[in-house]
Amino acid sequence: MKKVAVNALTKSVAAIIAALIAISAATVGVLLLYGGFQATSETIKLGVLTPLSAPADFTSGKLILSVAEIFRDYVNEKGGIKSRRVELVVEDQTLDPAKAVASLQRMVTEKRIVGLIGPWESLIALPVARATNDYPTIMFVTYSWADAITADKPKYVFRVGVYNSLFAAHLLEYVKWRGYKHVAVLTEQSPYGLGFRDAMISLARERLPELQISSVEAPQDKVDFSAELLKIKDLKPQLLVVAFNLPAIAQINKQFYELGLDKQMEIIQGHDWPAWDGGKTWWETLGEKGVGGRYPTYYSPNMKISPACEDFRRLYKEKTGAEPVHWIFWYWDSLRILQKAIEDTGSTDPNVLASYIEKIDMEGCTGRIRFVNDPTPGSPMWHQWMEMTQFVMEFTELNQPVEKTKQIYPPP
Amino acid sequence: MSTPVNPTLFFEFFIVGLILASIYSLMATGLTLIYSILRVVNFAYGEIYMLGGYAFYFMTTLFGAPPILGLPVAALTGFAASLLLERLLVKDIYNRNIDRPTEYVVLGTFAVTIFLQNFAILLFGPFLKTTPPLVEGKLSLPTFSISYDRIIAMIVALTTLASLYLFIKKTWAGRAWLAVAQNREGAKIIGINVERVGMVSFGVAGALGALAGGVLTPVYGVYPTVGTTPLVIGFVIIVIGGLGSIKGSLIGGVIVGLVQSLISGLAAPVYGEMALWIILLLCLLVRPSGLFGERIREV
Repeated sequence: MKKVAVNALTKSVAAIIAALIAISAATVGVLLLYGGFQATSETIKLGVLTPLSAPADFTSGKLILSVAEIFRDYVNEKGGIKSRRVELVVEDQTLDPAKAVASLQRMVTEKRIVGLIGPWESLIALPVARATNDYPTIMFVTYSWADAITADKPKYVFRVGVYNSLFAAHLLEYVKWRGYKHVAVLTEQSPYGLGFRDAMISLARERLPELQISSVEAPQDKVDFSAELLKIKDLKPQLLVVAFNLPAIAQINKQFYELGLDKQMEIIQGHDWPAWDGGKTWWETLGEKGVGGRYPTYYSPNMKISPACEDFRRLYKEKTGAEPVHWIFWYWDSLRILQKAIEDTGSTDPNVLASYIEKIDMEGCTGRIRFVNDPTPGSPMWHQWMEMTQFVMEFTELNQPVEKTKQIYPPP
Repeated sequence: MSTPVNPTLFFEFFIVGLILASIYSLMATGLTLIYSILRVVNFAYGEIYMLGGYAFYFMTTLFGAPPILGLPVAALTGFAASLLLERLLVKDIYNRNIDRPTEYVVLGTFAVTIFLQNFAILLFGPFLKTTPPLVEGKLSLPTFSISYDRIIAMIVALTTLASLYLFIKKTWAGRAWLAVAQNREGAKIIGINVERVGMVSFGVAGALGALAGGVLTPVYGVYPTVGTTPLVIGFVIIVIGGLGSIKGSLIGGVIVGLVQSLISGLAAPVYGEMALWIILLLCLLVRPSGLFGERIREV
């Protein structure tokens, strides 16, 4: 009888232990599956989804990848983030939105990335940003200009950079200061180009109702823009704004001078491409004609770069041979934001990180980092960093490096 | 009420269109030759053009050679690269051991395109590179200017097309090429070394493409994907102008250049692009061999 009782007790204990093990295993499995708990791994994986091949803007993508590589090496040399080494997961964004979203899916579900930088063209950045609702990860955009990226109020996406309406609003200040009454915009047929043009037209109606804006569009993969430029010449504007990416924008500038349009109007770049390689492409393309050329940017040599970014500036110059342009600093800021968020929260959960980053207040490379979170439907000022100033810079001497250009506006 | 067309503007677009026509014809010459002689679609032609551009760029900037020396180097680079491509990829399609030879060449040369574009990004970097002009300055017309480099490109295009035409029509070698183009088996029977003709003509086509790349580098610059336009425009020209016709290549270039310039300028650039493809489609429907094309005779 006693033996039977002991056997029964042993079986009961065994059954209870087995049940406890099963419940624990199931709990861990469920938590891992639904991401409520990030399994500790040896590394922190950062996703870089950026253009690395044609026909996307691989020029910029290569620079973005450089920033990520410098960050990885720099942080790992200092012991990593929370003693965990940083590893990059790199994929080519291409110009196919479906492919880019599939890459995001793979990076989040298989590779378990904690954050993402890199989507460049708004054609790609916008669907990838929307897809983070389904594949949660913290994503930063800097130079993808579509208003909709933040106007959609995404939970995990933060913009450390500008958008079309903001850039157009800043450029209109320069137009007003110059006293122009008629401006032409030559834009590429893309979300960036057409969005920029539409923003400029709609903001001008409110702020400069006397300003006439003429618009000519062209496909971004053309090489010869003679017809478009002659058409603009016939419109007789005082200023031509060129909203194209490389390499077309360089060709447009060259052909502008070849056709003699510089005798009739000023030309200003739609963004700061001359600065991307320190001015090399600018001078190679235009030669002497480049003297007097102007471009808008968010960096002036008169600005002070935060000491926190001086190491990066040095490392970037060693790696690429050029001074980092402002949006390169913004990518560095984005990665530092993510690093600080992980260190301060001790978590890699995107929900925890997003809540923290919304309220972050830290020193950035070119200004204080604080996000504006305007919940008004349609407002792009959501998860948006606003503390930047647009400068218009001018090349004053032949072969002048970008860091020696003269600030024209705001007048120093 | 419609706005009357400004005659000055029309004249400007017409002149620009003619210059563009010659530039496009120059771009398309090599492609015309390959397709005319070998009936082979070479998707890597644009990248041969790109290699010619880079050869010209490095000769003139890295080695400081005068631009006039850069051009033959560009042509030689294109000749060598095309020869290699022909020997590795194209020659086997004539052995009839390959199932679906057309698809084989299309896919093979397309793969070479992707490889060369990305190799160029790796080796030369992604930024646009330009050289100093071949001839400094521009021709000032009453209302606008044309750079001398564009005029040189026009002269080179017309000279190249004329030389090629005379070569094909007046020399023994050229007539051998024509024979191979018209009837490969027949050419073999009468003693023409068709393999050598294929090899040399492929190389010469590459040389012409690379020469175009060199001549146009001072005009448009060079970058890893610069070859896309010559390839696409080249195919449009040879379809419109006519398969196997050098005269058709020139006329096709004129049509493409004028349509693009006039419609882009007078209407909108997007209509200029659309018009090209509408003309292409109409050509394929109404006259598939093109305006001056010859019908293929098969054994």
